[in-house]
Formats: sequence, structure tokens, C-alpha cells
Amino acid sequence: MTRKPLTKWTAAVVTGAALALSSVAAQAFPDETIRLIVPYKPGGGTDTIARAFAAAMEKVAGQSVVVENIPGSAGINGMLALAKSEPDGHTIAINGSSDVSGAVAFRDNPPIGFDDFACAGGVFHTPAWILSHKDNGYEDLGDFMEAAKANPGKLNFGITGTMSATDFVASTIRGANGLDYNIINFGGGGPLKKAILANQVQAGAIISPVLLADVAAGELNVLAAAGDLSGISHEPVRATKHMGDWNEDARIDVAVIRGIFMPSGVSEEVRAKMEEMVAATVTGEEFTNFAVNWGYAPYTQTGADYCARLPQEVEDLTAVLEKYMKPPSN
Amino acid sequence: MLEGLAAGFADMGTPMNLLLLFVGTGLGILVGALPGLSSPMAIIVLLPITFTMETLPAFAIMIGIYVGTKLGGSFSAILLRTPGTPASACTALDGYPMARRGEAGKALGYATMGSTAGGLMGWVAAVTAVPFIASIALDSAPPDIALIGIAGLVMVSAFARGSMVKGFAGVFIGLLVASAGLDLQDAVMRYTFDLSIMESGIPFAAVLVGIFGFAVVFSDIAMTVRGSELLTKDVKLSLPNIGDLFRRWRAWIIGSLYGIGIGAIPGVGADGSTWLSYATVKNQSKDPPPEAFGTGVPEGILTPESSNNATTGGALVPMLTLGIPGDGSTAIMLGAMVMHGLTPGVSLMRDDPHIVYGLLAALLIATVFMFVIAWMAIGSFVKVLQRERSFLFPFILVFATIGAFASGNALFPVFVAIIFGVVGFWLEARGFPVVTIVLGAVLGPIIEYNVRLGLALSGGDWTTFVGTWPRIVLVTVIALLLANEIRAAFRRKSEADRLHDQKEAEVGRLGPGD
Repeated sequence: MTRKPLTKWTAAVVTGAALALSSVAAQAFPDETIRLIVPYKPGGGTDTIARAFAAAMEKVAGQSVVVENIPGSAGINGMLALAKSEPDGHTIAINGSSDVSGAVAFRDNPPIGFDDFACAGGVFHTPAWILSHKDNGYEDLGDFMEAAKANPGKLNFGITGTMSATDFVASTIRGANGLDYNIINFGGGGPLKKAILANQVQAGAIISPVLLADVAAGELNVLAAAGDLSGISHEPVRATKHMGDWNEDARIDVAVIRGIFMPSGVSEEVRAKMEEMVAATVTGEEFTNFAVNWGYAPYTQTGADYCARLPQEVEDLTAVLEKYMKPPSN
Repeated sequence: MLEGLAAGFADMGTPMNLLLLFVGTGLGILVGALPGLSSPMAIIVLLPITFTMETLPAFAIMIGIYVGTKLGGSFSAILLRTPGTPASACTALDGYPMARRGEAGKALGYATMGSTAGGLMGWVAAVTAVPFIASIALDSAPPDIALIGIAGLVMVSAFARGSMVKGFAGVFIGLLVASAGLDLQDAVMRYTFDLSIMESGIPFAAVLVGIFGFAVVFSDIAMTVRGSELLTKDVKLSLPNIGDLFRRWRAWIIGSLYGIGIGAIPGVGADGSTWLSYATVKNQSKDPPPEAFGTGVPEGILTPESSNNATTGGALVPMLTLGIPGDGSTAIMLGAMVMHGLTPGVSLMRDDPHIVYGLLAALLIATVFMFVIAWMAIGSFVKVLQRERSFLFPFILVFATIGAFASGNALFPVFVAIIFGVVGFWLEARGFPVVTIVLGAVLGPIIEYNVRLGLALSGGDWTTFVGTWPRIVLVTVIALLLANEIRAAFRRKSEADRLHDQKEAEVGRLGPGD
């Protein structure tokens, strides 16, 4: 602990020197191992993408890219670690856009803010979709809504978490169409998956391409999309209608876009270099193969666009929140 | 199922995996033989190494240790009369007298054969039950899982060694530990004290490291001071012949059946099954007569040893099909599954069948390795028993610290582990079975989550918990277990009162000043 001031001081000197020679530094960057923080436990969607991304980026960067899982507090711990890291470009994090914007917008005294981060671009786009077991007999969202109208208060609609992206989907459909069904929080994608498969909920909103194999096998029906499904590998579901097609009031774009975050103190040269490497990685053959195999065509977004998406998401979600959802209790 | 199993053996049969299984099993026998060191501790200490491995190789080591310790414990029980693990305490009853008669090799031979037979029986049971239960479990609804969890918790408290009150106390500490953090359903902060680090709750992996790593070292330091005398240094394993084994079939069949059944019940674990099966075999025995037990009869070794190895198969059944651990080691393996990106629970068989079958294959291979290693190298294990083992403690502490750090790449879990090490040591020394804390912490969230989800799905209707026949059976089992325990507690109380009265009467008769 006593070494911290010294470390900080050294770091300040090093950073100063680096700034003075920023053009040289930018050319040299990256000159050591890159640490890619995943703010979740291993094994989830973001972690899977991160590991494929890291492996592909090593070839682009010419440096080792090491994935480090810093889980906890719904992704806050890892993002906090990034915000506090040396802004030399060698520490980056991957996270979903709505995971960051939700954490900043919908909690009291969030320990992180948008201005703690710079963005090096979006790398993976996965919209939410609404699924139902084939035994329910709903071909699309219209069938489900009809059933909900006929049986008020009877149907169960599963979501992955309170105030999560999937909650916005379920609440918007219910509120905009004046329906009465129960929104059941499963507290995670795994348990909701199981409940949809065992037909214990009549419908469920989950981030695609989860359960794609069962959709392709005809076990599950895709009732509607909550975002742009056109990039999905399984061709027949690309044409799925958006939930806004039944009611314009329910036209919201709910998707998780994973992007690469850097600490805000990073120099523009280094950020731009990182952005370049991120784009090259995502469009490269190795990552493209992974992406298509996993369910989606490769997706890129510039750092500026990605960073701009975050406050926009907050604005959209706040609007939904005020209109269709009860205000958060506390 | 057979293709799955064949694939499992193919996955586990790679030279690297076989090597890891072999090393794990050998290590397990060693750890089991050293009094105080246990299988959960060894697995915890090796966790940081397994983080970097692929999933199956990581579990190859863990399964090896798990199986090996069950036999290793009998070595010290027989030669030192100090059981290496709680599960082998029963083996000392007949193993030590036999060794004192100069038949140490024979005693070890019976232990090895008993363990192997039990392990094989347990494996057959697991392989038969896992695919079947897994297919039913996929259709289980939240109320089913909630009731199974509650039944498990009641059994944990009821069958824990020592008193039920202490068992319940441990379970409640576990529940308290697990309830801290962000509640997943309503996003309410519980016991977080406005600290963002507490939002994810008390890191469970760190609690395990504390209880099974640090606490074990603390209590072992206290134990090594005592020391114990090794009966003999030159031991040659003398395996009983097959005919001899078949003549004593009752011993290892009953032992195995108890082991399988009790292993599958959360919390009771191997030590419970050894005593219960020993008592059964002893009471029903005609040749040798029940009085002969305790003087060094082969049945007295075959029974507990087959029983404790059979629990390995039994405990894997709820672990692989429901995500509910049967004992401390399987609790850690479930934690390790999460760290390896798996989701333990009813969908494990559906999502990752190769892991399930790989683990089942590993169980059989480790049991065979256990036999081979004991057969070839028992002398080396006996040699280790005479050595000072305190030099191991710093290594265990270092590895446990690394393990705690690696569980979250942060210092906070290390502090948590140290605190739980001290608390665990303190509680264990006072007769609280600490494994109840672990199982409370594992089962608590499963029960809470499924009760709430069950109620949400039924629209708040509590009758959903008795809505199907299996649920009615489960509720009945829970009620009977509780009623039985309460009755037993009252009986004990009145007995204690009577003794107390008697004593007072005696004191009164003697009068003051005598």
C-alpha cells in the first residue's frame, strides 16, 4: 500500500514523457501485453466474444492479448478497474452498450460515468428477440397478444432481469398494447432459457442468438425481433417482424452492442490506433468465422458512434421507463 | 446414452487427461492418508492451477483427488489409528486391531478391495441414474427444485455429525452468507453497506478457500503437535483373493448401497454412510458374530471402505443433474464449473453432455487407477506417513491465497477467505460441522430463487408447492424429517433432565461437606 504514491508518481512521469513523445508513442503502441478486462465471470456471452476477439487481436496487434475476468456488481467492478487503470492503451475492456448505459442511468450514485471512458468501437451486435415454445401455437407476436387479450392476467412473459434490456421489451409490448400479462424475472439468461424450452412461460425475451439451435430445429418460434435481426446466420429468421410493426408505440431498438472501452485519459493517437486495430480484428477472417459460427455476421461501429450510442440508449430507455414501467423502488 | 458414455471415455482417454487423472488420484491417496488434509482442501488448493486448463482436464484432476482421498484415509486409520479423513474413522475400528495382530498388509488389502468394489458399484449407480434423472429434471419446475433444496437442507442439519442445533446453526450462517449482495429478482441491496464491492455478495469461492483451505491448516497445526506412532514401517499389500471377497459380499454390497444412497443426499457425505452401513452389517452378521466386530474382522474394513468410495458415485448424481452438491468436494466442483463457464443445474446434461459423460468416465478411470496405485506403491505412501508434514502448511496457505485472489482477480476475496478461515477454525473446534455452512450457502440461493420464481409463475398461489404428486411426496418427507428431529430432541431433553435429577438426588443424599 505504501508503494502506491511512488507508483503513481512514476506513472505520472512516464505518462508525461509519453505525452511529450506522443507521436513516437503512438507509432510504438502497442509495445507490451494488452489486458482485456471482461467485467463478468467466464463463460457468458461477453466472455465468449472476448476470448475469440483476444485471440484474433493478437495477430493484428503483434502483442499478447490477455483476458482478465473482473466480475461483480453487474459489470461495475470491471469497468471501475478500467477507469482506474493506466490510460496508456494497454488496458481495455469489452462490455455491452446497454450493460454500461443501464448501470450508469438506473442506479443511485453510480461509481462510474460515461466520461470515465473513451470508445474504440463496437464489435458485436445482438438484438433481443421474443421466443415461444412451438406447443403454445403462437406463430408471431400477434398470436401471443391475442391470447393475452383473451386471458388477462394469465400469461407469463419471461425476462432475464429487472430493468434489463429484456425487461424493456416485455414492458413496452405490455404497456403500448394495453395488455395484461405477468412479467416474470428469471434473473439470468440460463434459467430463462430452460423455462422457455420446458414451456414454463408462454413467451420470453432474451438476447439473440441464445437458443438459435432450438429455433433452427423448429422447437421454438421467434415471435418478434426487438432490434435488427438481419445479420443473424440462420436465414429463415432474418425476416422476422419487429415488435414495432404491430404498434408504432412499441418501436424501440433493444440490442446489446459489445464494444471496446478505454480509460478516458488515453491520448487521441493511442485511441485512434486502438480503433484501427479493433476494426481490423473484427473484419479479419478469424473473428468473422467465429462470429458467423456463433450466430451473426461481423459488425463494426466507430468509436465515436459507439460512445454516442450510450447516452442515446439512456434517453430511449428513460422514455420507455416513464411511459410503461413502474419507477424503480427506492 | 451409450454413445455419450463412449464419447466421454474417448474425451478422458487422451494421454494428457489420463496422466492428470493418474496424478490426481495419486495425490488424492496421499492427501487422504495425511491426517487432517482432506479432499475439499486439496481441490481448493489446486483450483488456481485448474483455472488455466480446459474444463475436462481440470475436472480430471479434481475427480482423481476426490476418489483417491477416500482410500488414502484408510491407510492412516489402519496404521496410525488416526483416520486421514473423517470418512475413514470407521475403518480404524477393525483396521487397527488387525494391523496390531501383525496383519497390516492384509488390512490394507481389504481396504483397497473394499474401496475399489464400492467405487465400481457407485459408478454403475451414477451411470444408470444420471441420464435418467437428467431427462426428468429438464421438465422440473421451480417448485420442484425448491422442495428438493429444502429437503436437502433439513437433511444436512439432521444428519450432520454432532447436534442438530449446531447443524442448523451452521446452515443458517451459510444462508446468511449467501443472502448478501444484489438480490437478483427485485434488485434490492442486502447487507451491502453501500459498498460496491459487496453488491455481488460475499464471494463464495473465497468462503470455500477460507473454510477448506485456511481453517484446515489452522486446525492441523493444532493437531500435529500431538503426533502419533506408526504401527509398522514395512508394509506389503496383501490383496484378498476374489473368492474371499465374494464370500463376504454382504459387507461390501451393503456398504456400497448405503454409500450410493447417502452420497446422493446433500450434506450427509461419506462419514455418515460408513457408520450407518457398519452398524447394519454388524447387527445382521452371523459369521463373524456381531461381538467380533471391533477386534479386526475383514467385514469391518470392507464395509466402511466400500461405503465411502461408493459415495463418490452417489454424490455425482445430484451434482450433475440438479446442480445440488452431495458433499464439500462436490460443492467446490460445482463452483469450479461456474468458473469454467458451465451452468450447473438441470440443463447441464442438455447443454454440455460431453462434460457430464467425461466426468462419469473420469470417475471409473480414477477408481481403477486408485486400485493400481495402491497395489503398486503402497509402500511409498506408508513412508510419507512417518514424515513431518508441517512443511506442507506454508504451501497450502500460499496456494489458498492465490486461489482466493484468482477467483475474482482482486484482493477482497483474499480478506474474505482469511476471515472465514478463522471463523471456520473457531467453529470446527467447537463442534460445528463447517460443511453445513458451505451447503447452506449453496442451497440457500437455489431455494430462495426457486420459491420466488415458483410463486411468480403461479401468481402468488402457495398451493403450487403441493400441486403435483412428486411435490406432495417431497413436502411429506420434509415434514416427517422435521417431526422426527423435534421428537428426538424432546426425548434427549427429557433424558438429560432425568440424569440431571438423578445426579441432584445423589448429591442430595451425599449431602454437603462429604
